[in-house]
Amino acid sequence: MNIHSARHPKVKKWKELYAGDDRNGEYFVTDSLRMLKGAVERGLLTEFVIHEKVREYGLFEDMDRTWISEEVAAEIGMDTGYWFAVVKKPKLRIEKFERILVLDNYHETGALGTVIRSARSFGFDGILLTGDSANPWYRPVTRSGMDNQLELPILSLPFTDAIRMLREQHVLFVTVGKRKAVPVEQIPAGKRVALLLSGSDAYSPSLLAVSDIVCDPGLDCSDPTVLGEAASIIMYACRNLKGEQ
Amino acid sequence: MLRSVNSSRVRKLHRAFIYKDWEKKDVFSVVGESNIRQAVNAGIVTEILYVSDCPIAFGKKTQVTTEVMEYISRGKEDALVAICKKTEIPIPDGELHRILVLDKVVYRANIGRIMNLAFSFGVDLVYYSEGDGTNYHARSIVKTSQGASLFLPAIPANLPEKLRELRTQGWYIVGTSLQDAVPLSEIPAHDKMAFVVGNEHFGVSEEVLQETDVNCRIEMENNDSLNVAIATGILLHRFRV
Repeated sequence: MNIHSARHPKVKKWKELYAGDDRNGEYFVTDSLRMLKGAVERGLLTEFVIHEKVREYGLFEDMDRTWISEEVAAEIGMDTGYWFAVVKKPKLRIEKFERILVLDNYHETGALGTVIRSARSFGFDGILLTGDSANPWYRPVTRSGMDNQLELPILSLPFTDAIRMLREQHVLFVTVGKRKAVPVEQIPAGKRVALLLSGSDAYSPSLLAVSDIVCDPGLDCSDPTVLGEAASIIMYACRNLKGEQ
Repeated sequence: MLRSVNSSRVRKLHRAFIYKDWEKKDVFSVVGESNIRQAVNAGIVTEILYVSDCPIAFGKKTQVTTEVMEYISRGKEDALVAICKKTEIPIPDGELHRILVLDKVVYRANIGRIMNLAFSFGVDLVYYSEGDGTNYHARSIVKTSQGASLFLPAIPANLPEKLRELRTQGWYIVGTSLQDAVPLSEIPAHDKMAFVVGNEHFGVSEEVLQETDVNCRIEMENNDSLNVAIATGILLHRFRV
């Protein structure tokens, strides 16, 4: 299939998905090879779009390719690479959980993907995104998240709803802080844990107010760029791996 | 006040701060108020350039126009730029306990984050692969390291040779690889430990792995690797001093 006109009805939707504007829709766009492979394996790939300027190189010959012109690529705003895939979001639910991560106002797109990858690696059962957090299906997040978004449930909901839901489940609330903080190794084992982190104010009074345990991962979390590392250190400390049970 | 992009001083600053030939230059720039404060504390700032206001107490400050700042700062919208002299960061006095070895880690964002983690968790010095082309004075490294790269010595070295030398001096060398790996939680702490982390795509090279005493794997499921900065953080946190 060839699409040469920027006025083609598909182009508007691709542009929206490419920019990460449609966070609640049924589809997302990725330019991550790992995510593409994951989507193909799970039968979630709906369209593979490639720039006609690379037609002569014989790339992705095993895919059903939709070729686009320079005009269409420019309209979409393609800024990295020469292809993207339109993928259907998996329908994942958090049925029951032992470990859950709550990210409030977490804006860092690259770091969000890294945290998603760490969360799944350390046996967390899901992520709740609250406040004004980044879109977990935005391209940069799909790159750093590898294909973990396809298996780890990630829900967006208001902060108060997330806290109320978790309170009803009687989980232990853990956050980061400095005052009266314990080393991460002292997070009690064998308890259901919700790790709460804020991307806008690491030592957030609202998170500290609801938390049962304040831990110190040894980093100055007042800079949100270190939150990914801090989150991973804590998630490793309270990991819940099936092989270790 | 510096007003003209045609002045010889401004042109000289522009040339000093462009990335090309960074190895040959004896100055570098630091941007952002908190990083500049760190650079002032490190005693390496020679002058601060500012557009309208400079909130940092420092002897030599020069006001420049927005146009001059854009020219010096290569179009980036910086309001403050510190001119810093390249100096060798001294290796701490006394006995060292933690060394970090970067085997061809290439992404500057990762290097900056790793430098910050190393500084936070008590690493005394960093060795990195000589000739890997990384400018440890790059703005992005200073920025992502939260200024830690201005204080933590980073020394280029032939890594296999350096690790052999460290081992003869009693250092316990911990590599990160799945090859014959021991779970991280099972590795005991030693007084003098050197940790080796590797390239974002290829990991630690074979010739460097031959010099390790033990290879560790971070216990995980569903994935077989983590981002290198994340893995370094978990490793250094476990053996923090």
